[in-house]
Amino acid sequence: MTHTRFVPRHIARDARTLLVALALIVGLPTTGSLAVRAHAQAAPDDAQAVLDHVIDNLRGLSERATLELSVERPGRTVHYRMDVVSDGNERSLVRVTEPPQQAGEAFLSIGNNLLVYSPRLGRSLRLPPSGRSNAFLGSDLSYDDLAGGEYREQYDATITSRDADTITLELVPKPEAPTPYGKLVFVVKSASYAPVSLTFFDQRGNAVKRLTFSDFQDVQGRTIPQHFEVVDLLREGYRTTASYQDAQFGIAVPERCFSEAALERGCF
Amino acid sequence: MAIGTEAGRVTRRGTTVALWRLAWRNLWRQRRRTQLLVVVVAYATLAIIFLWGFIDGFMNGMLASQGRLVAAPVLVTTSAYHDDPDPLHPLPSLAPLERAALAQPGVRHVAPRLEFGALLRSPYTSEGVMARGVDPAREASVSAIPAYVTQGRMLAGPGEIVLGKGVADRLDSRLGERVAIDASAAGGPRSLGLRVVGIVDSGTPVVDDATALVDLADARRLSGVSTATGLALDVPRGRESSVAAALQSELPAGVHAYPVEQLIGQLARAVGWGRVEVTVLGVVFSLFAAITVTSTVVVSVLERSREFGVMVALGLDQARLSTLVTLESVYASVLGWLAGSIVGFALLWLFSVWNVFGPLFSGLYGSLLSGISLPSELYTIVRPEYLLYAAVTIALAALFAVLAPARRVRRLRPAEAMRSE
Amino acid sequence: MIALAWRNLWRQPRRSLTALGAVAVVVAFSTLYYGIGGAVGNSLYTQLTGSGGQVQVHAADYRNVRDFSGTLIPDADRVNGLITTHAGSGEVVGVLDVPALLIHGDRSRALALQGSDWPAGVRRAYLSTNPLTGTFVTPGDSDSIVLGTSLARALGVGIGDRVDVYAPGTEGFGAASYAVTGLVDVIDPAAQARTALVSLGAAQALAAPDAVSRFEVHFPDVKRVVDDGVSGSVAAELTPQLPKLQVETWRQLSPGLVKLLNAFGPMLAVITLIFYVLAGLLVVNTIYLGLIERVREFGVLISLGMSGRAMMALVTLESVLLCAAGAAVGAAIGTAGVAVLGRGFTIPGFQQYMASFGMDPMFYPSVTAAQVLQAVGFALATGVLAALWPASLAARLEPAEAMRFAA
Repeated sequence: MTHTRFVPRHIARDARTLLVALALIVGLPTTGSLAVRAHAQAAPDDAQAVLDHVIDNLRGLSERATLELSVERPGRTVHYRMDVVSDGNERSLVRVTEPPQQAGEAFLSIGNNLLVYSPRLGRSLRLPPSGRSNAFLGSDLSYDDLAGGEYREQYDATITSRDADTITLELVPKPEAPTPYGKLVFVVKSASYAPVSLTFFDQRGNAVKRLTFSDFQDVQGRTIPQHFEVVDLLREGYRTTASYQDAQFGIAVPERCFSEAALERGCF
Repeated sequence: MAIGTEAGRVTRRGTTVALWRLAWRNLWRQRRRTQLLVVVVAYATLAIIFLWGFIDGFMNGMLASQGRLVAAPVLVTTSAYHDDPDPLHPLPSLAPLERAALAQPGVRHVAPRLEFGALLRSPYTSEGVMARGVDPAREASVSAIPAYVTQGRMLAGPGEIVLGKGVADRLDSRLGERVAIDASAAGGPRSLGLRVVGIVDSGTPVVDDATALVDLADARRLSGVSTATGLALDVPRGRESSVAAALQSELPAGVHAYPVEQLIGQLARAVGWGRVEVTVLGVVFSLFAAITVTSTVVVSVLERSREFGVMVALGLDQARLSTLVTLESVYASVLGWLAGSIVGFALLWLFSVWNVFGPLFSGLYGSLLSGISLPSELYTIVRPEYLLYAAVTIALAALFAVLAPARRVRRLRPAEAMRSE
Repeated sequence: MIALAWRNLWRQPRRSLTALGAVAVVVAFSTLYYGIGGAVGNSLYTQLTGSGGQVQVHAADYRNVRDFSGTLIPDADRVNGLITTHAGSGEVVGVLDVPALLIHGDRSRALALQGSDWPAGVRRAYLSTNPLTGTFVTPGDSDSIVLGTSLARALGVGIGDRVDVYAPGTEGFGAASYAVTGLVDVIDPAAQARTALVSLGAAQALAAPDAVSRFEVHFPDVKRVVDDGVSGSVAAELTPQLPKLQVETWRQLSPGLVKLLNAFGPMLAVITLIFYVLAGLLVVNTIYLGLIERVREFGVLISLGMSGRAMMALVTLESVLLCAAGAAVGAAIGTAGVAVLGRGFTIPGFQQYMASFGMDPMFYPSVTAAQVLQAVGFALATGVLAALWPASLAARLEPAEAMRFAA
């Protein structure tokens, strides 16, 4: 009944934030190196430049879409559907529409601030920074896995191979980088710099997680994947998939979308 | 005749010295009986002294271990932090506190500490820990943990982390690998990548399953605290309470010095109970020994009834005679007490340098009590006051002597006595 | 010869009684001491089972599963019913632990919120060692929460204030708001900063409808380890009924306690052994003094033909009879004492102390027959050993000298 030794000492901690899956698309906080877009013309032989292209390819466009998220575990799968609005920069609004249990929940992210709206409570809560790394809606990605801008500062990139369509990059973390991975292998399309797959390795050479990108759409000269899949290579049956439907890019997103009122009512 | 001369000597001068010598000689007229008495008292004394040395050693070991492995000999924190250990309640300033502490007699070293909740991430999993930011150069003076780094080495500076074996196992993190650490500061989440440079294996679960040491500079970056959550003081074992109390007057309002006894919580009282038990046992042992002495002296008196009768008839003060008898009791007890003390202290000294009990007890208790470390090294303590505790035997023997054989002597009627068998 | 030995003892009633009394005291003390040791063990047992029950049911492999849903037992109502039918007289309690964030204004704490409907006996035991201000959670109450006092302070709330609870990654509403109705001064300061209690229904609505983290089966009337036969039998009966779940007894849940309880015996034996040696020495002294007084008499006996062996036997017999009589008296007093106290006693003045240690202030001593027999056995052994030296002296008496012996 009380906190005896019977209670498992760890609380489920590896459920990660839903928002994480969105980070790649909606451009959640980076460390502000978006200015690198200016280097779009750099020579493709330079691994760092390739990486820059890839990241820039994905950022900066405002977007509105419906996101279908599936979290698979052995024996059960949970589906979510959400409406997503982003200014392509540091702000995004996510409103859950399915399943009915979670419908009406909404998240507003502005820079490092995270506001959560619960229809049950009827109001929004400001989540403290500690809340971001604790148990959230489960998915297999972590916030830090996908905060793209930090890739540039934290990893040294080299090109390990090329073929007709793709370039393979190897990203090795710098010694102080706040990531536990030993290396990342990033396969991108050579023509469009669209990401194809990102494999995470531990420090012993084993692959532990793979993120694959598919369903590419042409948007204003960019090739943007609409479907993502994260597979846990160590645990059987652990997978998360995310799919964007009806995506509209480059639209004008009203300011009111990033207000507390929008959490409850939306803004379109 | 010998007795007459003795008694004559006593009555003539009435000196107590003669009485004492007589009592002594009487004891040794019954050599074997006296030897047996001495053995009994010696044994009781030995048992009392040893039990005391043991229980004090146990308590001492527990506090030393708690002070050097889990908490600190003396920890200076805000009182708000003591109630709610969170970096939200850091020390207001560090330098003036360090100065005040070092100026206090009894404080040999100081070491700042910043404890904060953090998430450690390996490629496989993540674990919440209470990380401790330390000054690598100074931490060893207040903590025994650096001495238990069995793989690798202790921290040398920023960018490094030392993990308890249990933590490293749960994360599946090896020496030389990097872990990511996330913490939340007031200004937002902060993350760092730290290399595992050392693994701690102390044999104590509360240490091995929870230790995560980082450099103080990294801790400040991660938590947003610019000072520290606590200042640990290196104080010799036994003086923690007095030094903390003395230091308290030099500390600003809201800041408190907590000696290890206040950081160990309920356990100190549990061992205090052990002290009560040893006291009770000690008194009972003394009682048994005193009864033995008394019964022997009673027999001796009975046997010497005739002799005593003669002495009284010759004019020896009956009061003196009863004093004689009491003295015999006291002598026998003192002899036993001396013999027992020598052996007792010899044993205590032996176990104060030879760690026999440590592995025995930490094996028994270690896994049961969480949050408390038990010493893997357990030594007995040697203290002169144990002599006093054991001397209760002498006091009781004297008391019983007065109540029984001496009284019997006082009521002696010479004529009857001289006729007795 | 036994009759002779016995009569000899009573020629010096006071001395013999003293030695007999000493042996009786030691045997009684040993029995009581074992009883107290048993009481301490029982106290640890009641503390453990009072807070967690004698038997617990969890999801399979719950210790290794990391996500929240994997640790849950679904279909809780049905499982509850199933367990109840096989639990005999035990009370079945469902507990749901929810990893949650408690928020009030700009202050927050992450912890495991506990939802449970506490049975009266368990609640009483908990609150007797952890004082409550205000009111406790009641079953069915979906709006109240009880917090540890220091937790409430950290959040800046008092009785009557509301806290928000956010529990994402779970399957219920995921968020809720409660009114603080009570504050608990949990003994363990670390636990106090993490204690947040709601009713089972409230926790289920928040995070996991019709699910629990575990079921506990409580037998509040079983207060002594020796009386606990139900744990094993209930667990054995439940296991086949719940194939997908893990059924464990308190012994499997707390092997450290079992180890400690097993160690009590040897530790107590050492202390009592030290005591027995002392009593033995007192007996030696008594026998020896008796010997001295009867030296002339023994001289006569030997000259009349009694062998050295027989002398030894006589002396030894006296010693053993003395100790046996003392042991009998002591055992009787000791067991009677444990029986009387075994129904539960408290030491005035120690109650506060016990409570502060988190232990049940009531003591329930218990002693096993084996322990009493051990004490008696020790006493008899003491009798034999104590006689060794005086008996050998008696055997070597020279009749002529002995008969002339003058004290």
